[in-house]
Amino acid sequence: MAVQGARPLPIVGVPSRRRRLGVSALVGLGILAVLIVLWAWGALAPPRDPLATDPASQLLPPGPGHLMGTDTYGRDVLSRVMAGAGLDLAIAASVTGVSFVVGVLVGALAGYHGGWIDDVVLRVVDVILSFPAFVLALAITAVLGNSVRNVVIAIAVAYTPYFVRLTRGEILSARRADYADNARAIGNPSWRIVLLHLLPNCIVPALVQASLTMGWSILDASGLSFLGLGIKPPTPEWGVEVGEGASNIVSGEWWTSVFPGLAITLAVLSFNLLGEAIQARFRPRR
Amino acid sequence: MTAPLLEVADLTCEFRDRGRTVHALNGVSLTVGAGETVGLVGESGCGKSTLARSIVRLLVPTSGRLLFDGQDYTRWGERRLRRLRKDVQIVFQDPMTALNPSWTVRRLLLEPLVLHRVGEPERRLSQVLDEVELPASVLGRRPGQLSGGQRQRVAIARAIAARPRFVVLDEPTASVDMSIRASLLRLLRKLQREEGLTYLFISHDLSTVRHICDRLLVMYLGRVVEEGRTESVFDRPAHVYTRVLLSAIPVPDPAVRRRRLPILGEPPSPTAIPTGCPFRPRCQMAAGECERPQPFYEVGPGHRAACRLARVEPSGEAGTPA
Repeated sequence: MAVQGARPLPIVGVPSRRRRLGVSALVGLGILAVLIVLWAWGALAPPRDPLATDPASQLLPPGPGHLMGTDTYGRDVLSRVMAGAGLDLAIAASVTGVSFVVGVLVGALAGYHGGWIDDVVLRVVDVILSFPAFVLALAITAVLGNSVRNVVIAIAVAYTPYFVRLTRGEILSARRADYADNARAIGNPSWRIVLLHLLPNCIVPALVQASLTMGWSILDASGLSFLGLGIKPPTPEWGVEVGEGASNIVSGEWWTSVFPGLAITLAVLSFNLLGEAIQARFRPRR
Repeated sequence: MTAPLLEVADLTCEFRDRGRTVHALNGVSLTVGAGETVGLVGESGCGKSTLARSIVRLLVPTSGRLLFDGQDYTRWGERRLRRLRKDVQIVFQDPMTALNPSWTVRRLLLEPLVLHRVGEPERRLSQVLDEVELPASVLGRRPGQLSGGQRQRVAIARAIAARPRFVVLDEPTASVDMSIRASLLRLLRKLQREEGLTYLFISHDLSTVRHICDRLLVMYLGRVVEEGRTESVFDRPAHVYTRVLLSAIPVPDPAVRRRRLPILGEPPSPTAIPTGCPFRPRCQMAAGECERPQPFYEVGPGHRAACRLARVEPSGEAGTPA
């Protein structure tokens, strides 16, 4: 009967296989969800047309009619922040997508092949990295002209080297592993060894970097627009909105800049938190 | 012996390490006949693994020739080698590092079948799983979720899946404990019988080699110093180095007084190989003539050693120059 009543001993010190999401992941995902809801709402049923000016309702403070007030041209700030969410997240996703894919592939090639390819790639990377990312993006848009596509290209060029460096380093150590030799001995061609055997074990640092790049590229895109070198003004983009409202802060109409600025802050925060969460989730793996 | 399946002729392999040349292999010659199991023994650092990696061409040898089934593949490029790799496989010492940690067993075992276009891969997959005596339940697991013995069975299954003819076993039992070692050896012998495999079995463990190998090669500092049938080498070791090795085998009987032969100092660095007999600086029997390169002397049928003590004495009791 003692046996019947016995409970299994609590197992101490065995970590559960699937750890729960940490606080940073939850907060990061939460903020991201809010931004996506804002964007979807703005896309499907915006409170007002983000481009419609109204001379009768210029610079109204936040209130029942306009939850975030109106700007100098009488446009609804909330609607413009919603529309900006779509554009800024799209820019961030494009920048990250391009620099991730290009950077990881070039880095893997350089790390695996070594020799002159590695030397050339490293020199180019060093040259790009010797400019601060933002200054480089500034110069590229100044040359290419400002359009959404050129902003994406400019920022992607500035961030690709980080992916190259990270992936090259990881591949460089992984290619010495026995399983890389085993993969060759079993009859794999080089491209399969790199893409199927090595890369999946080398991708976590690049994923963390991708999340950070999402945040930074929003900051850079809106920064370029703020300076007048990114997205052109009537377009509802957070940086444009902060820039247009900047002069109003002095005269007390803070809402025209603060709400889009807050959106930028939250977006960057959420991607940094997500990056941290990815790192925490994968790092201790052997 | 019939025409050899694998022939290694005067193979040398050198590396540059911080400005110095490491002579990992110094003219190794050996043959392995079809269906044979040839053991290769020697202490760590003698070039066993370098030889293994050269034979499966993960390394390009500095000079010498490698022939498989009469074809010289010493300088083949990767594309051509891929065909050879269907026939010539290798099992590494530690399956923990030799198997991709993020791949499932299923994927690991299917890969060689897909690469070498083996027909009906699913059928062969379950067949090879049976052959290495693993349950189908391991298919969904990753190497880290298996026991050491299971992992090595997966590594062996991966090597033999595409039905190679020749397998290099690079210390396949060194990473597991004694009880599992015996079952792995039994498995390897069974596979050889059933699949008609030919093995080059590399080990530093003489008692393991004794039970599985038909012939033995003793390596010292990148050179084969003695070779012969396993019983012959164990019964009548001719090279002083071989005698030292054999005297070092532990005997599991406290009543038996072992007489261990002395060996002087540490093995020399492979950056500075001694002239003449490479074992000379550590040999108690070294004489003046050992400063010259020693030829092989026939000790018995198919048994020869590169040591002056294996040479025929005036009384005629040892052997004759080969």
